[in-house]
Amino acid sequence: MTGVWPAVLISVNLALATTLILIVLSLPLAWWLATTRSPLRTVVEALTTLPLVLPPTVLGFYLLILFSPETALGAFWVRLTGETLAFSFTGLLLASCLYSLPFAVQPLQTAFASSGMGAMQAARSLGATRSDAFRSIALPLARRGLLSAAVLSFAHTLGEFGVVLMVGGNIPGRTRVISIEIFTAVETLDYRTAHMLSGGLLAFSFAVLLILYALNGRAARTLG
Amino acid sequence: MIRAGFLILAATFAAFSARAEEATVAVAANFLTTAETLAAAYEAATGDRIVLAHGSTGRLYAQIANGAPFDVFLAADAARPAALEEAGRSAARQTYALGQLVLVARTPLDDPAEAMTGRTVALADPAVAPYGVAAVEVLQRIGATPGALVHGDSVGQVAALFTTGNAEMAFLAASQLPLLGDDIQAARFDGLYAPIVQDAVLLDRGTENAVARGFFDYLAGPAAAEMIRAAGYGVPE
Repeated sequence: MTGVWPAVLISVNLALATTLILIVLSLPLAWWLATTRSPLRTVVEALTTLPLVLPPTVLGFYLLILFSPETALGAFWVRLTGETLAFSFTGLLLASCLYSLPFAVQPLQTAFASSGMGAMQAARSLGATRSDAFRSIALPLARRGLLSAAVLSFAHTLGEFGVVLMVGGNIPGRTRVISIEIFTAVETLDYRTAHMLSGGLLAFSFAVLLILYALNGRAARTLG
Repeated sequence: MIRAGFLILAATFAAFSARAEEATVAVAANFLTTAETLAAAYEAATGDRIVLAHGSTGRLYAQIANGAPFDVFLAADAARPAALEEAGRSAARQTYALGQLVLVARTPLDDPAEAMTGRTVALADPAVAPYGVAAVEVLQRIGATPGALVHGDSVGQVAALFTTGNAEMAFLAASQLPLLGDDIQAARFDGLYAPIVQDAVLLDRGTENAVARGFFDYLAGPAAAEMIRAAGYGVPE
């Protein structure tokens, strides 16, 4: 039983950290995408959606090359920390942020686009500053999007497999996440562990989505 | 019209029966390039088709235990083939190669234990890959203290971790050395690990398949032995 907990802990830490970083990055990015008239918009939109359509192996392959100490980024990281980006928690975090980016940006972008603009302009014309209006009008109106973005980023990172398998190095207690632990358990015919982790992940994911949809349904009703 | 339809139908059946002249072989990752050479030679000699599926020995074993459609299994150990035999899944079993473990690096390897100190060393996951088990044995015997040990799913993935520069050193199969290019240092550890006896199994699914049996027998022949030895393996006497 103790055998599976390190993997669960790493997965949860990774998902939490990824979600936090992604929300911070995605808020301005999604706002910009929802409001800008810049011709760059479509390009940025396509770029942020890429991880959704690419196989994880493509991301894993490029990250493996990028993380190598022979590249500028890889060498910089080794000088800074003494360890390689590959096989480290930081490397997994970077990979997860790329991998789950669309799941954070898209709900926020949709929320910003569908609400807030009219109310924002009204607030601005009443003398509110831009950031003031954003904080007190746009953000609260987009809270469903914020919730969706956070929950989907978290759940999607928890379910990550291919990228982690390629750049993680499968180190127990460091980079061996739940999905890899399940893979190893199945390969060694340890179905007890596989059942325990798979069942847990299934129940958790279902519960999270159930709560998300329930909350969203209620928010939709109260907002009218 | 009906005639044309009948011809198409006949052609389809012909295509299907042609497809029956093939065998699907599950290959442990360390032996993949060698198996490709062997399969090409066998295909050229017989006109039959050999389809190769590869992975770690443990993964392939689990797939076979769950009914994967393989006719022959070329494992990297003797334990899993023996287990298949015990479970009544094997029609025949033989040792086809003796694996040679090597440690590779881009820096000198005169004293492997010292060279590994504080470095990132990749090895195949011992839970599923026999070359990983041998690597762990060597690490213990020579008292090496690497900075970090990272696991690849099979020696194939370990090679990728090494060639991309993410792992500084790696435990691989000697047969993989030609894939790594020049400027590679390699160290061998003869006698420091239990012999990697690689057994082949003619699986129950392949008993009725003439191609599967043919390829299985071909493995034990002199032509195959020469290719296997040239690839960097030992061959059973």
